[in-house]
Order: sequence, then structure tokens, then C-alpha cells
Amino acid sequence: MEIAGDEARVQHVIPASSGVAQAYAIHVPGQLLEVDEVRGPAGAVEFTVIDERGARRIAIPTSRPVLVRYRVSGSVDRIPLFVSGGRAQLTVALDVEEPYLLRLNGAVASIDTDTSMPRFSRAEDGTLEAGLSSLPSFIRLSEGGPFSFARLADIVALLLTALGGGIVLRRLRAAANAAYSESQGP
Amino acid sequence: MGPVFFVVLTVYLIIVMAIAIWSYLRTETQVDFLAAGRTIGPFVGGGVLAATQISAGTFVGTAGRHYLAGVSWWFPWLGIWAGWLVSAFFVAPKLRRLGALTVPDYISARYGSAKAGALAGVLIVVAYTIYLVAQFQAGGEIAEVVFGIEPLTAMLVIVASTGLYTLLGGVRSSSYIDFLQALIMVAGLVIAVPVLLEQVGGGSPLAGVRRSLAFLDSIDPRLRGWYYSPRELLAFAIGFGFSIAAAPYELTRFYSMRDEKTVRRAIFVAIGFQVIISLTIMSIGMLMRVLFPNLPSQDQATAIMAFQVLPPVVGALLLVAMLSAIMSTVNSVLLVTGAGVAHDLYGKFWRPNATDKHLINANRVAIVVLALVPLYFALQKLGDVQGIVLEQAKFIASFFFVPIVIGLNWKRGTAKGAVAAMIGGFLACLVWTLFFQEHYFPRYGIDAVEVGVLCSLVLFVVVSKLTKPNPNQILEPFFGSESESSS
Repeated sequence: MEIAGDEARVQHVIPASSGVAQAYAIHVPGQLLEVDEVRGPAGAVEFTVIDERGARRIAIPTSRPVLVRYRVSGSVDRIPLFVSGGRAQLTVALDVEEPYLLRLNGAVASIDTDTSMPRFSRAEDGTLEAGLSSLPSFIRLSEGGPFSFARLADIVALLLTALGGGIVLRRLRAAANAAYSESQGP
Repeated sequence: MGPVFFVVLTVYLIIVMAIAIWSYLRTETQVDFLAAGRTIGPFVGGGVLAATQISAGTFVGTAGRHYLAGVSWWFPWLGIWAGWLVSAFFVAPKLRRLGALTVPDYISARYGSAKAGALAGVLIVVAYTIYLVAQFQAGGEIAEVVFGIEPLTAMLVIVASTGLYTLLGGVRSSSYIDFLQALIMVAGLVIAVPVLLEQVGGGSPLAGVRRSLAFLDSIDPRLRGWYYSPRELLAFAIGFGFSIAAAPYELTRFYSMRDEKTVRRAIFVAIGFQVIISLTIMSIGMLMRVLFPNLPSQDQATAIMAFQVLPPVVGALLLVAMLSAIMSTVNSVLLVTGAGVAHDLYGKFWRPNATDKHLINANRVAIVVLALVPLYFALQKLGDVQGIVLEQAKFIASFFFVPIVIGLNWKRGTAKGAVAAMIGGFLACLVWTLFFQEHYFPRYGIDAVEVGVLCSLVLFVVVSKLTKPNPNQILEPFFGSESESSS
């Protein structure tokens, strides 16, 4: 994935599926998404893009993994990825694997890795990388800052925990005082 | 997770150990160890009840089922709260009035039979060994996703740390620690929801809600409707509800409270905590489906959220809360099963003249042994976390609901009736689960818990009617002077 100004060029694999592959990219207001190409192992694959209320759906008449290339322009703080839909199965988690590696190039120097989603790490060449067990429906790029929503949430969390700790300490102190009074007798 | 998580975790563990050591210094008698000297008030008690019931099954399993099935998984909560209300009005006050230390104590006293109490102790150990499997599996799940460490290592850490504070302070330490955990859980969950909505919708939470619902409609419309059929949901609700009304680890918490009034108030406080938690867990599960729709397993949803989506401190706190939930439940279960072995079996049948000090030590040894047994099964990953919790709840309901709830309200019940109800309920639930559930539930809608409870009830009534009624002196603590007219 490469970001330049208000445009992002994205390419990623849509995994194999049974029957016609249906993949969904979440709608982000103020954003234009144009699919350039879908490629299978044997070359270009025909595809249909359908606009739904909550997502842009791409239908691909193959059950094999394909590579999709598309451009996102306008607002690029959230970059949609094409994810599978349909009925999820009840599964037991086996060993955790991270078969997906997301890599962001281009204008990513100002991105705050702690508050972006997923959580990226910065490679030596400046690109951002994240190893994942499955694709997110979008990548959220954040520039952080002291008054960002994420920072405020962190502060509120600390305050609430301190408050809770204070209540427990007060209760403990009260219980200790009561025990001391009892031991002294009337 | 980086340094933030380890700072949060270290501070939390220091607080927990400080509370445990403080309690250890004040634990002198068995009543202190098992019932916190009966000093817990309604607010702390309510937090404790909520924390005890909100387990890994909730954080990992329930959120996972919401991830998988959407809004419909919320309905089993109604069964849980119905179970709490039954407990508040028909079970808890009478049990607290009796002043027993454990559920087998109650069974022994109510039916005038030490053998019935011992059977209850054995069944508790069996059921909660299954329950611990779910807790350990959830802990392994979180550790694997977040830290990349082996599940066995994670489970051993959980056993060691939980075992330590259980061994040190018994119920007094775990009551205050559970209360702290309940506060952290609620805070972590309540903050997580707006953060997730902000991820989806930017500055406007409403935009986040609208966009999420529209996206869920696209990828699977049943997430906002009936993923599970009403009949399936009713079976889940019955399983959870009947087990909550008679759950030994919850009932044990009643004994540590000041009086009957405190118990009833604490139950309403606990329901309040749980309403908040249920709605936030549902939101989290469904929002995680929006953010990561293709996770390899639904059980990974909350761990991935804490690790990949939330800001560092909130994520770390929520992970601590999840580990706390596991530790809290493991702690409660170990107290119950340890007491079942040491107090009800060892103390009554093996060493009836044992001193208080000796029984506390026996309890501590039992806790260590009972913590290690479920480890093996947890490593086998026999099912998803919520599924294991549900199965265990069905068994609890099948063998305890009738002798505890009906037994407290029907004075004609006898010891032989109670023994038949426990054994019959257990076997009926087991046989139906193993041989009939898969075929008959989809076709006729008959669930194992319904078969178990019904068999238990029929056996209880029939065998009790066929056997000699209990004498008045046994019934009087439970039914007062009205018991005289029964015999």
C-alpha cells in the first residue's frame, strides 16, 4: 500500500473461497474507491463491483485466491480493505498464525503507530508493517497528538482506575478500623 | 504490547498481592478463610458477585459469540438475570440465614444426611473442573494472541498467581480483589465501546453506529436478527438461568456477606453491573466483527481488540481486566472445590476431629491439586470457550437446581430424594448430551438441560414421597415453625 497526498494505492490478496468469491470494502464518506484490476494465477479475472448501503461488494467468479488492486482518494485516514462476508463458522482457536503482512509506504512519517489501527511497527527503511492473523476491514491512520481521542481515552481509563483503587483502599481502611475497634472491646 | 502493558500489569499485581497479604495477616479461623468473617456489605458484595460470574466465558466466549452471531446472543442474559432473581427471593436469604460455609454444608443440613452433602461435594469438583478448563483455555488464548507465548506457560502463570492469593487470604482477600476487578472490567469495557465507535465513525459515535450496522447488514444480515432460533436461545437461557440459581461458587459468596438483607441488595447491585457489562460486551463483539470480519476464531475477538485496536493504556487495562476475570473465576472455583474436598470430604469423613488449622492446610493442598488437573484438558481445546461454559452450566443446573431451589421451598424433600435427584439429573444430562442432543434438539427442540432438570425433579418428588419425611428438628432452620405441620 502506498500513500501519496490524498490518494492511496492498495493491493492485497483475497483468500480462496468456495464458489463465487464475494469481498466487501466498507463505505467511508467522502472517499472514492476505484478497483483497477483483479488477477488470479492465470492472469486478469473479470469482476463486478456492486454498491450496497454499507459496503462496496466485489464479485469474482473464481474460488482461487486473487490479487486485487485499487485506488482510494479523498479522505485517506481510513483505507478500506476487501474482506470476505457470509456466514462465519463456530471455530476453536488453534495455533495463532500471522499470514498477513501489511506494509505501508510513502507519506507515513507522521503516522502515530500506537494509535493507528492495526498497531504498526516502523521498519528501518521507514515503512510501516503489521503482521496479522486476518485482514481488518480498513486501516485507520492516526497522527496522534496530545488531544487525540485515543489519548483522552487513555487518560479517562487511568482516572477511573485510580478512582476504583481509591474506593477499595477506603473500604480496606474502614474494615481494618472496624476490626481494631472490635478487638478493643466495649 | 510494549512497556505500557507491563507497567499497568505490574502495578495491578502489586495491589493484588498487597490486599492478599493484608488479608493473610487477618485470617485466623476457617470462617475468616471461607466467609471473610461474614463482613462484606451490599456494594462490595454486588461487585464480587458480578466479578465472580463475569468470567473468561464472558470476556472471551460471550464477546466471541456476539462476534459470530450478533445481537441474538444477548437473550441468554435474560435467563441469567431470571436465575439471579430466583436466587434473591427463594435461595440466598435462606442459605445466608442458615450460616453454612459451603453448599454441601447446606445439603447435609437440609436433608440431615452427611452422605448427600458428600455427593454434592464430589459433583461440585467434577463440574468445576470442567469450568476451569474454559478459564485456562481463555487465558491461553489471550496470552497466545497478545504475547505470543505458549498456552501452557500462560496457564501455569495464571494458576501460580491466582493460587497464591487464594492460598494466602481465602475469601477475605478475594472479595476485595474481585471488587477491584469488577471496577476495572466495567471501566475498561465502558471506555472500549466509544473508542471502537470512533475507529469506525470518526468523531461521531452515531455515525459509527450507522456505518457499523450498514456494514454488518452487507456481510451477514443475520447479525442484526436471528442468527440463533428463539428455541435455541431459550435452551441457552434455561441452561444459564437454572445454573445461576443454584451455582455453588455464587452461593459461597452469599455466606461472606453481613446478613440476608445485604445478600438481596448485593444481588440487585450485581444485576446492575451485569446489565452494563452485557450491553458493552455485545457492542464490542459486533464492532469487532466490523473491524476484523475474518478472524480465525471468534474467541480471539477481544484479545485482538485490546492488542490491535485500542489505545495503549485502555488496551492494557482491558487485558488486565480479562486476566482478572479469569483469575477471579479461577479463584472462586478453587475456593469452592478446595472446600468441597477439604471441608466436606476430608474433614467430615476422613479426619472428623481435625482442627481449624489442619482443615485450612488441607484446603490449601486441595486448591493446588485441583488447579493443576484442568490444565491437561485445557491444552486439548475441546470446544470454544462459551461452549464449554454452557455445557458446564447445564450440568450444574441438572444436578443442583432441584435439591437446592426446590429443596429450600418444599419441606417434603428427603435425603434419598435429593441423592436420586443429583445422580439422576447428572446422568440424564450426560446421556442426552452424548447420544441424543445432536439428533433430537434440531428435530424436536429438546435440550440436555431440560431433560436433566426434569429427570432430577421427577426423581426428587417420587423418591421423597416414597421415603420417610425428615424430622422437624432438621426442617425447622429452613421452614420455621410451619415445618411441624408437615410431619
